[in-house]
Amino acid sequence: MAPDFFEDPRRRDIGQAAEEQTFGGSEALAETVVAGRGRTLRTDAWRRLRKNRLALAGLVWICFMIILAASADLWVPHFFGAPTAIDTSKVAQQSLLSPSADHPFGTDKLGRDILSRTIYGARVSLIVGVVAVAIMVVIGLILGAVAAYYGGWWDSIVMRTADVFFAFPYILFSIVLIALLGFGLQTVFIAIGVIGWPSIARVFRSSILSVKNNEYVDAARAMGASTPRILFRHIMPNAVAPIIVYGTMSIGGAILTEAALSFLGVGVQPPAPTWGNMLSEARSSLFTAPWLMLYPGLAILTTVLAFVLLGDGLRDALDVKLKE
Amino acid sequence: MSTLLKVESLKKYFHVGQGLVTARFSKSVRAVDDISFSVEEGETLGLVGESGCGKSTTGRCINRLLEPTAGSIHFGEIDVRKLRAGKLKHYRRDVQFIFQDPYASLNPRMTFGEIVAEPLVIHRFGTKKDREERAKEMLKTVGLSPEHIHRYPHEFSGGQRQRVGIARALMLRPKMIICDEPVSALDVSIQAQIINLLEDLQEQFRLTYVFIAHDLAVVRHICDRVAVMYLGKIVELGGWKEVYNAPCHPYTQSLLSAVPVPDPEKQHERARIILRGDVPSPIDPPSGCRFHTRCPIAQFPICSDVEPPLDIVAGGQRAACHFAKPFPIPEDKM
Repeated sequence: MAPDFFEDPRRRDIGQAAEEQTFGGSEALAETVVAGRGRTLRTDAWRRLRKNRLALAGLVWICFMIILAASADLWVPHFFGAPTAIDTSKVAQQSLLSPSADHPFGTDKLGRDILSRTIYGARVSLIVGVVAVAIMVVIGLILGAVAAYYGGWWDSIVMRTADVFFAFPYILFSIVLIALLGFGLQTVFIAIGVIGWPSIARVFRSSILSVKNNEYVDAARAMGASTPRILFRHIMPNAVAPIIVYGTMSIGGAILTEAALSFLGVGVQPPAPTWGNMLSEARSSLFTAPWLMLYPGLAILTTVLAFVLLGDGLRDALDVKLKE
Repeated sequence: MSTLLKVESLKKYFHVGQGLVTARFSKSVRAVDDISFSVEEGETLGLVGESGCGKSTTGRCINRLLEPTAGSIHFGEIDVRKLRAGKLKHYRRDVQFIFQDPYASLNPRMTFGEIVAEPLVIHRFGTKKDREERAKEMLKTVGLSPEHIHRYPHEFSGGQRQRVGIARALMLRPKMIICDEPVSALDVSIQAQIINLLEDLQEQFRLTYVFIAHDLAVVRHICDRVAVMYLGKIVELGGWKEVYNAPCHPYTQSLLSAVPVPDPEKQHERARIILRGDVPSPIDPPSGCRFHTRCPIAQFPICSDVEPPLDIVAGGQRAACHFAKPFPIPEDKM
């Protein structure tokens, strides 16, 4: 071994002294690599989302649907007639009219305007989508967090229960639930929400597990932070991004499930219009009046697609590591 | 100078394998196996060794980020292992941590201001405004601009982030800071800055450091005393001068011979001790002296049967070797 290796290192050598002059102290600012001011993660995400045309189209379509559905009472009955009103004296003349200026989407067997029913159907679909997903997210978040944070027995119990739910034929399960709880919009929420939680719990669990091992969680513990603080300040904000994405996509799924249930006649009951029960009613006149099936079908397709596209865009936008 | 931290017979075993049935039969990883050392007030103790030798585990046990399996840790008068909730929180005020990876140790969803002020929030100091003031001051102290409090970590380089990690550790005016490889994730030029900053801060805030590193050159620069670890044991412990100038344990000697010297000619001429094989598994460490499977001067059967104690040797430092003597290594082993 060379003797000079053991020299007093406290006498800083020349190279190092030079480095100090260049970089040391407050001059460290010189290495700034920063872009514009006031960039928060949320504005960054929004900027990235805006660049994604498909996701933006999805968002626009969803907003359009929401506005239509929310404002329906103000104008739809006036122009196209109430969605459930049946004029018994004119059923014969009004029945199964093909699309025209009066009825842009045509009419159904009972002479009700399809456009009006499709718009009102959006209400049910959107509400079911959002509320059912809210229910599944709440259950899924809590159980997923418990499984991931406490681990061990808790993890086994929660995840095995989730597996059992996965193994269940979900339509059958919701029909049984609805049979037990009675028909109605609330029952549909509950049925879809209760069935959907396992996937949210799984996603959240794995997300927490990966965040939990980050050093900033250790750092918080080393500072003496309490468990709730660690959970809500450090783990949750970094683990929810996949849930936002998955939840958005699940809204599309919930709309589909509601349509399926209504189609089977166990969802929202007629005469209240939903896309699902409109399809169900259209079955009998599929060849004579295809528009009965076309418009609610298109509505389901576009809305579900919009949610999936938005979810996809959010996944890219919320990824902190993905820099443009 | 008085002793600030005293660690005695510290052990930390990790159980491998989970489940109810297998756990009972499973073996454990002996990450830290019966080590003792003390740290004087105001000094810097370096913990050195290759990856997996238990140096980070030791650091984490001191701060109780990990619960030790056995042994005692005293911080001044406090018996660290007996601390519960409130008192533990109070203890952690005095013993802060600087982490290795500045990219992982800062919460990406918090601004620098929030990160630096967080210790104060946790320990309920001052109003929001006071805390912001203090955060700004501290950012200035570690060489960042006070205006950076509204910025997020992803906007900054590794060196700047590590400065924030240091600022955070200083906020509570701790007595001791455990630096867990604070520079090994940084570029070499930035390493020098951070080391110098740590030295300046030590003077300014009268800090005691436990400095964990695998880079001997870095340790040599900042440490007063050095403990060299191998497979969960301390093999050599002493003042940096003794350990660096006259290493007595063959492991230390081989580590030091692996440090490159800046002069290429000397680098070429200089003797190197290359260890054979890999570090044995800490699940099933070798009997006797743990280093005997790779030791260039091992003699059998004593080295494989008897565990050498960490005794004072010729140079004045302690070394755990039956044949500890200052440097000379036989020619044919080089």
